[in-house]
Amino acid sequence: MTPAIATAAIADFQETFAAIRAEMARVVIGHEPAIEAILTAFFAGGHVLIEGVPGIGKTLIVRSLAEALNLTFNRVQFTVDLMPADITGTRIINDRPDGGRELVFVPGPIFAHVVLGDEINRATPKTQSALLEAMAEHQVTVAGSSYRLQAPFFVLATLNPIEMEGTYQLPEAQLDRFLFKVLLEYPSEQELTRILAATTIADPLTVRPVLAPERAATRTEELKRLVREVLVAPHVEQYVAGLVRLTTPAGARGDGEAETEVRRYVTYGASPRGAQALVLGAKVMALLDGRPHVTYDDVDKVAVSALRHRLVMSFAAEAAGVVPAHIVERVLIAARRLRA
Amino acid sequence: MPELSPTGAVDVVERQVRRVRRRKNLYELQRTLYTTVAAGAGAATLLLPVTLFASTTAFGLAAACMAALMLGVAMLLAGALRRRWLGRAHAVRWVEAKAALGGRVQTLVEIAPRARNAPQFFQALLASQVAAELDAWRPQRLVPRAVPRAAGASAVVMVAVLIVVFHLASLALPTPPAIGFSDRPHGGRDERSDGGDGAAPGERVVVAPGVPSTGDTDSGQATDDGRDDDSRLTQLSSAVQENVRKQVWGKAWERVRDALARAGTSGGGSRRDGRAASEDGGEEGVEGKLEGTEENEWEVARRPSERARGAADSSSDHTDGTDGADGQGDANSNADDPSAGSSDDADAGDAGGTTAGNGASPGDLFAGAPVMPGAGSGSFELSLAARMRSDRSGRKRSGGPAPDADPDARPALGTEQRRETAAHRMAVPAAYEQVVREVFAHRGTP
Repeated sequence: MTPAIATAAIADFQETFAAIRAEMARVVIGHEPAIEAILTAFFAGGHVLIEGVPGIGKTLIVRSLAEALNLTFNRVQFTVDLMPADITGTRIINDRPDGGRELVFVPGPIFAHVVLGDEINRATPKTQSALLEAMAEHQVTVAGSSYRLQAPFFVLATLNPIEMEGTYQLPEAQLDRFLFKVLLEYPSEQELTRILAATTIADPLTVRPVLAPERAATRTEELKRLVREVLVAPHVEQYVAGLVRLTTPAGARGDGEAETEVRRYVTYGASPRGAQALVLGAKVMALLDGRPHVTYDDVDKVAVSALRHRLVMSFAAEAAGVVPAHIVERVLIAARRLRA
Repeated sequence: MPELSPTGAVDVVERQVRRVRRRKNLYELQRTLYTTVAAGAGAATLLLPVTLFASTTAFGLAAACMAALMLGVAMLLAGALRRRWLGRAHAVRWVEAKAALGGRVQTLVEIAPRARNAPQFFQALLASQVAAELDAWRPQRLVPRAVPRAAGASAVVMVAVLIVVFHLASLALPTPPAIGFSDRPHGGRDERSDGGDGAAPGERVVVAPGVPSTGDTDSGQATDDGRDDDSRLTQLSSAVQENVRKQVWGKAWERVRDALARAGTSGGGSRRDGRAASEDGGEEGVEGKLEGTEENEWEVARRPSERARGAADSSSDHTDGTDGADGQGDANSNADDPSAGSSDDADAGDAGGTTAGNGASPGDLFAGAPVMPGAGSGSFELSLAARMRSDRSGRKRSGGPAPDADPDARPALGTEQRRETAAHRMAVPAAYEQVVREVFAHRGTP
């Protein structure tokens, strides 16, 4: 591969990314960091958990993404009586023209490129776990038969942090399958004014597809593959490993402030999947910066989004009001020593 | 720069990293070396005056402190060199940090082994970017100076200061004590300096009749010396001090040291110097006597009027086959009892002999006990029969008018006496000893 082709590939990625971001930003007012994080996770091949109060634009962001990418989009509203088959699909008895009957698999809403699981914590753990196989292996198994999901497959789940009654906390295994967790902040007054002006008119703005429909899936897969080609040197891998180890109580052996807080407030640290999320997110960051290789700063940029939902905090942390993002930021400061 | 293949770029990068590493390490070595030289020269500059002018104890303390200080400095410098030394494993990282290359060079070098097995999509691009940046981190740019200026300048300055101090020190040779004569017992003190005129009593030696020593100072010194003799460190520091003085002051110092040794003065350092010299060169004659018993410490110089009679005693002693020590014992007894001495002197005068006062007896009185050749420097010593002593309590030079001389009892002797010339010590073969003694002996009036 010649340098010119590689340079062109990076430029293509940057242009596509910027175009999608700009198109989403036309409709979604504010939330630029969240949009960038969601796009980063998408091109990194992961899934995103979005947490925000109702009415803040979670669904709008996901729908805008699907429309901008020109990919198929399904939405699943999770409720307490939602069953796994309602997500994955089920087999039904079908009458054939010749009078016979057969079992036919009817795909569920998960068979789409972009799937929005709205308020995922309202479903029972059994239903939530229906997503596990799909998210990890991009396939579902119904009645002993496995069905491959179409690529790209991208799950965005939303969480409502205030209405906790009648909700089920997501199991750690499922949380770990989300590449990033993105928090949607309440919009500022200016942004709120713009939202009012843009959404209460007769013809509200709509997202224009960036990718051609017949090539959208292929193009996104090419771009995701390009991300995987980004070079990661061993010293960066060591840094990521050290960073993840520092989030675990067993790995935080020093006497520094971060290590002390980790031992005090964290019950379980990030998993190896968290390290993979760091590297993949850092690769996207490197491409966005026009580089063919990952640096420490790329890792640092995605660290909070990639690790905050992987830390299982202790009761002491809840009592003290310590949030996982605080721990991750402390760990980042301590991990800079690893660079030396 | 022509476009390089990834493998070629890695080779180029590794070569340049080696050059950077070599230059950087050479620079650090020089810095450590120059700093060490500067520190050593500074320590020597501080220690040289102490070595030359201070007592052995002070020199020993100063040398020990300076050695500890230099050890600490050496450890600090070694630690600094270890921290700054660019190892092979850290060279690329140092280049990255120094040149702010964004991790390209380090990534290219580190992924090279992987890329050999599985070609990387972006490796060629990375190689081309690194190749384009080679000039940004060439050795001359990362380590701009081949020589550490500050360390080098400090080394030059400190060595120059040391040379200047050495030169100044060589000019500051201590003056030997002036020797005066008196027929009155002064207790070893120069009356003129005791008169409160602010003169320096320690540099004037008075040859005078001795008095028995109460000897607090001397006995104390003897105790100190006895303790010092047990200390090899003290002997070592004394030897080092003496050696440095010889190096700085050369032959001049040997003359001063001998004079100081004869005077038994100039403080503990000179006394030990004399002893060190005697250990070194076998010069036990004068210093050994000075460090001896209390009676020997207080040697007596005869009055001019008594010298002729003393000579008779000496002649009789010589005739009886007694040695010089006996003569000294007589002299002491004379000093202790002047009246007895007078009667003895009268008898001696009748005998008409000559003695140590005018140097008529070379074998026992003038020349003293011979020093056998081959013991040390190969010279023997023509010691003065009249012992010299100076004030040990101060270092100020004596001043003021000289004391009035006693009337000459026998002026005729002066006119007939040969002019005295300094008898310098020199190496003489043992076979010529008798001849030399004969030549340099004063012949009394027959």
